[in-house]
Amino acid sequence: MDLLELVAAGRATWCYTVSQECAKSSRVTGLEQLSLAPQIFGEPLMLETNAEYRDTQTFRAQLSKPGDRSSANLGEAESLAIMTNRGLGATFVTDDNGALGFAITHSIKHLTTWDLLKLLVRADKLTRDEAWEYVVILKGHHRRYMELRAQTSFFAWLESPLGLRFSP
Amino acid sequence: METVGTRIRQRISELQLGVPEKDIAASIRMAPDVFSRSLNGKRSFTSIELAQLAERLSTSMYWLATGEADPFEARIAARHQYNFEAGSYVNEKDDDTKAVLENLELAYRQVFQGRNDEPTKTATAEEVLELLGEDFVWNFVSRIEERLGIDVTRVEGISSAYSVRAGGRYCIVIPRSSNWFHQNSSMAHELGHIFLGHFNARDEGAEESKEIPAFDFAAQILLPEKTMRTFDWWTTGQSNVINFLWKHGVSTKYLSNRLRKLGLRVRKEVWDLLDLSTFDVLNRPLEGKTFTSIAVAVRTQRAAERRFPDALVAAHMDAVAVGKAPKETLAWMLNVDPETIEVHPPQTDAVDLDDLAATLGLAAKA
Repeated sequence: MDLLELVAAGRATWCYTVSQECAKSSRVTGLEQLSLAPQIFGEPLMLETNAEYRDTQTFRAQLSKPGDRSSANLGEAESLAIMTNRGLGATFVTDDNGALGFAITHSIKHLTTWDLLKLLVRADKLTRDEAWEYVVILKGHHRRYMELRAQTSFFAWLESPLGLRFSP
Repeated sequence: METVGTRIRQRISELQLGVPEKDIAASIRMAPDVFSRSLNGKRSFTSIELAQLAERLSTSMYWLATGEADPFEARIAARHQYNFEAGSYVNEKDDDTKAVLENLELAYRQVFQGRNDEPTKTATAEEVLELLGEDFVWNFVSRIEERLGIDVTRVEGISSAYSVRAGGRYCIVIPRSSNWFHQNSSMAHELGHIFLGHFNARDEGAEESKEIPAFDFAAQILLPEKTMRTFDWWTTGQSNVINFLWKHGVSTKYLSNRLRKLGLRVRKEVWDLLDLSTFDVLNRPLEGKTFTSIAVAVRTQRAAERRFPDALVAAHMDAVAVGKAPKETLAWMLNVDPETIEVHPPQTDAVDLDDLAATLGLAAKA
């Protein structure tokens, strides 16, 4: 949370649904630190207009897969609806592959947790070994990014100007 | 002013659920006090809670949130499974049917963005018959799609036929089965719902005022009165009746009902024949039959094939290729493992993280 605060405090926000889900998760043993999130992100943004509600539904459909519950992907969809309707010009941070694909195809600036780790290493706020530990703890090496599969490829990526390559 | 809480309470009252609010809260995993505060406007519902409540209360999340109907929400013309024991139309879909229809709605919503609240243009059975053209029943599915602009899906897991309006398009959904004659009457019935304007009523429930006209509409399409009256049912031989069934693509029961409805004079041997099952009648060896058992097999196999509208599949292929839709929906339609669909997801542009670090006021590495 201290690293998140370093990057986000005072310049980041979140939507109401994500904030409430975070509050729920903070009551789970081992995730208590999530209760600090409101200090970093502040008052959440709420859906306000019919267009924002409608877009939330539309975006949720675009992010969903057959069999998903009607409540799946709503946190991401709500964030994207607020961002696009209010023209916030903000950078969307997510690790959800569907939401990332949506951001890419809709030309929304976006970052992943892995990008944030890279930024912190390059800004000397984190060593590359510590960053790799986070990758392993967060199971990044099991995700479909070529660069996260092994420590050597991760270290090489930290030095390169390239983005992550998602493998199908 | 009407609030989200008011609408939720209104819906609970309409449904006459007879359960306390704390039970509704428990069903969507909300603490009773949080639910109560949210109903009273002291706390806002999250999108997730509203979506779960909408599901529990059989309404739309958009309506709960805004008080208005969602113009993009999928609609079903009428759900018309008849419960003979209860003597009424069944409005509740079983879980499998619900899942199939939800997946189909999702498939449309992901690639077509049309509204579903504009009035449907109505037409008479005669006008629709004219559009379908001569001998339409042999290629009923493609005639409906090409000449009427209505999609047709044939899929397993649904208990009866439905017509759905989603993404601004109409789609008739029929159960995959070996019985092409049932599929034909179901498709004609659904055309009735669409062209009689049943999508224009907000109420999706099945009721006699919608079902009986849709049955009549279907009969006029498949067995027009003029055709039925032209045929000599009193002197004709069995083989001619069987050939008639084959040509018009209906079941023995359907023909029998139509003859009764029109009050036509029919020989006893014909009634006896129509008491048998359609397959029994079509497959019996008889002089004068104009079709072979191979032709019956071809028609049967075709009816048993899973199929989705070409336009829908094509739109998904385009969308998946550019990362605008998940490949899982396409895989569901094609009934294949998503892993077998080879697509290269769009790659993220590299962000200049050093620039970003500087913008964030973090010292970048020299």
